[in-house]
Amino acid sequence: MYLEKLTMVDFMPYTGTQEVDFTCDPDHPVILIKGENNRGKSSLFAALRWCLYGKAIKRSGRVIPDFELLNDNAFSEHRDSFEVRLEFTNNDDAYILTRSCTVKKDAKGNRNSSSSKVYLFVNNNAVPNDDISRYVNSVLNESISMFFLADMEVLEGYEALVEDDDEASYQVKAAIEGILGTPTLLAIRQSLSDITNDTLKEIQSARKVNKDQDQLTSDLKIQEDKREKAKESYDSAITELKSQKFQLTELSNKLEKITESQQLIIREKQLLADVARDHSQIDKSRKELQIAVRESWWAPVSKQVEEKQIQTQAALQLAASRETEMSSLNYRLASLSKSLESNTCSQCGSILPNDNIKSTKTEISEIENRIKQLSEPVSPTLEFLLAENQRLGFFALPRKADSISTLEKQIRLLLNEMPGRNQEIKEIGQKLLGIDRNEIKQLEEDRQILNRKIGVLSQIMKTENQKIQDAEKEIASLTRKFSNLNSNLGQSDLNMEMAIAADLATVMEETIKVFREAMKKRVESNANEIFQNLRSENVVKNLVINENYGLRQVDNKGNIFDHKGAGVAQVIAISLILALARSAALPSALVLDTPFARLDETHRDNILSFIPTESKQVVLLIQSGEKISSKVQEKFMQKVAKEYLISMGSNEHESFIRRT
Amino acid sequence: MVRKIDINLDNPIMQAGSIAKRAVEDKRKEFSEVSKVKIDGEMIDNLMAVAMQSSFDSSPLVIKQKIRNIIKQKVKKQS
Repeated sequence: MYLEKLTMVDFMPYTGTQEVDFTCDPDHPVILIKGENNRGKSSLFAALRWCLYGKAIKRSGRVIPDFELLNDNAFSEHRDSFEVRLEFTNNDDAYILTRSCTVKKDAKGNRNSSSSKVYLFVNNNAVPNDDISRYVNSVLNESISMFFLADMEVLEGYEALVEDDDEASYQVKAAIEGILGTPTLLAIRQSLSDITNDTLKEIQSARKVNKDQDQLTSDLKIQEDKREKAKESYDSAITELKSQKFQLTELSNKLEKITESQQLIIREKQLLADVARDHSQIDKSRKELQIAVRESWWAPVSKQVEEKQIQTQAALQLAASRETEMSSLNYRLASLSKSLESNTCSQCGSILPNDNIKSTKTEISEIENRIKQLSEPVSPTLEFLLAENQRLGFFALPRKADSISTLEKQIRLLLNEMPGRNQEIKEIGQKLLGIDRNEIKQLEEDRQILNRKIGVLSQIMKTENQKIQDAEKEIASLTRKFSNLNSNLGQSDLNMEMAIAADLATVMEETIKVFREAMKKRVESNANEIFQNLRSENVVKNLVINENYGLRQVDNKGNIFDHKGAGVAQVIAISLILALARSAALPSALVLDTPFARLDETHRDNILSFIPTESKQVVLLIQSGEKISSKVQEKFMQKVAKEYLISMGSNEHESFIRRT
Repeated sequence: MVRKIDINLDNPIMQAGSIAKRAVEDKRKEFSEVSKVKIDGEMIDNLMAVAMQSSFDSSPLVIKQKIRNIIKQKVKKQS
């Protein structure tokens, strides 16, 4: 990553819009930015980090809340947002990254929260918001950025940092390995292990598939057998059916030829049946007629009996009526007689007046006359009539005249029809002369048998056809499963893939081990070379790297110098940064904040002489008035592409950056 | 200035490729029969090309897929 331009709007001490142009060339790789203490060097450094990663971090390690990043003057003037835009290149691609933030106030008017937005354009194409972080990290991963956007006051103590066994130490070591490309190799190694596991699972799955395939093959065979069996039955039935239908056709043809005879036979048969039925009916009617005629001899007696019966009924009714009236009269008579004796009313009990006594006597007299009248004998007497009626009952037979008439009519009708039928039967007999009636009968029976057989065969065919369809359906389903299983196979290929992945994983394991050692040697070698150029002492000392990428000074006898001054520590740190920059998988610009803070003039001179040769772009944020000896200044300034000065504005909350 | 590094490759990943090729030769006798035939310098170059293309935050799934394809192609090519 190489920087092109930084634009800050109301960011930290920078009021309004401030721009820094970083463009340079290989002959002039240095961008020099100077400023007094607390004027905004570290804020400019923070602007780079905030724009790239969305975090501004103090040297103490504290993350500064976004709402604190708004310029105080801007806030006083009721501007509530700030923005940083960074333009840079990476592998010939042009990036424009813009991060802006709007600050919100609480009820008292104090800033208390914020919301940020970020936009990235690569070669003028907008990057989806979710992908921006991935893009930025692919250019300069945040984890390794500490060595490229280097705050030297923080990195000065890196050696102690890598020796510790904590999170910070892990991050520094991971960052160093990240610069060297080890994580990529580890990712390859992990992928190979994953592929080994994946292929193993696929092989196991394929073995299961084989078992399933065997089962499917067996199921398929069963269904195919079922289908073949059904087909055989169907074919057999259809052959038989064809034969039966052929026979039926032949029979039908024969029967067609003798249809008339057949119809005649049927008619004859029907006529004979009718004649037989009529004869039977005639016989029955004649017998009934004989009985009716015989019974008709008693007809006059029956008439007398009938008359006697009517008389008897009338006499019985009359007798009953007389009995009832007699009873009623006797009761009335008794009542009236009693009233007359007591001289009181029989109903109300009052004394009868003389007129009433008279009328009562008259009534009694009338009743007695009537009773006398009713008591006289009736002729013939009821007893006689009952006896006579019983006697004549023996001769009381029904009259048969109507029945005889009906029967005679019926017999006549039947006898009338008989000659016509007999004539027709005779004619049929003549027509059927020379015809083998038995043969026709046999043919008809055969046809009926054939029709029954055809019915049975049709049913068999229907059943077998259903079986075939069921088997076909099952076979189609099994074949699909079989096909799916086959597409998952290729077990031998999987075995080969697994073997290759496993062996490559072993190779990568060995590679990473050797690579780490080689990289350490490389970093050590580069750092040592750089250190020799930067150090000021005449004593022969070298740097050696340890397991944790810690660099230490040793003399030519291998003795370690544990005690070193702050300046030497900073030189060692710069040596490491430059060595990593040389060794990096992804080259990048170097931005060094306050690299000379603890260095004497000699070291400063050495660094200023050396550093322009180590990167295509070096941005140095240094303190104004930093002494540069005249012997290196001219040479160094020849390497400077642009020089900026950060200065205070109208108040301490306002800084400006201007090119000088 | 003379850089005291034993491998004349600027990019560390390319250096890793060189190391890996040596490791293949060192370990070849331990390989399975199929790997003895199929793992070669071309395969290592392809692996390192994946590593070169893969930035720090490349998805492990993508890397795995690319490597699997390299292996599959090799198996297919020579089988």
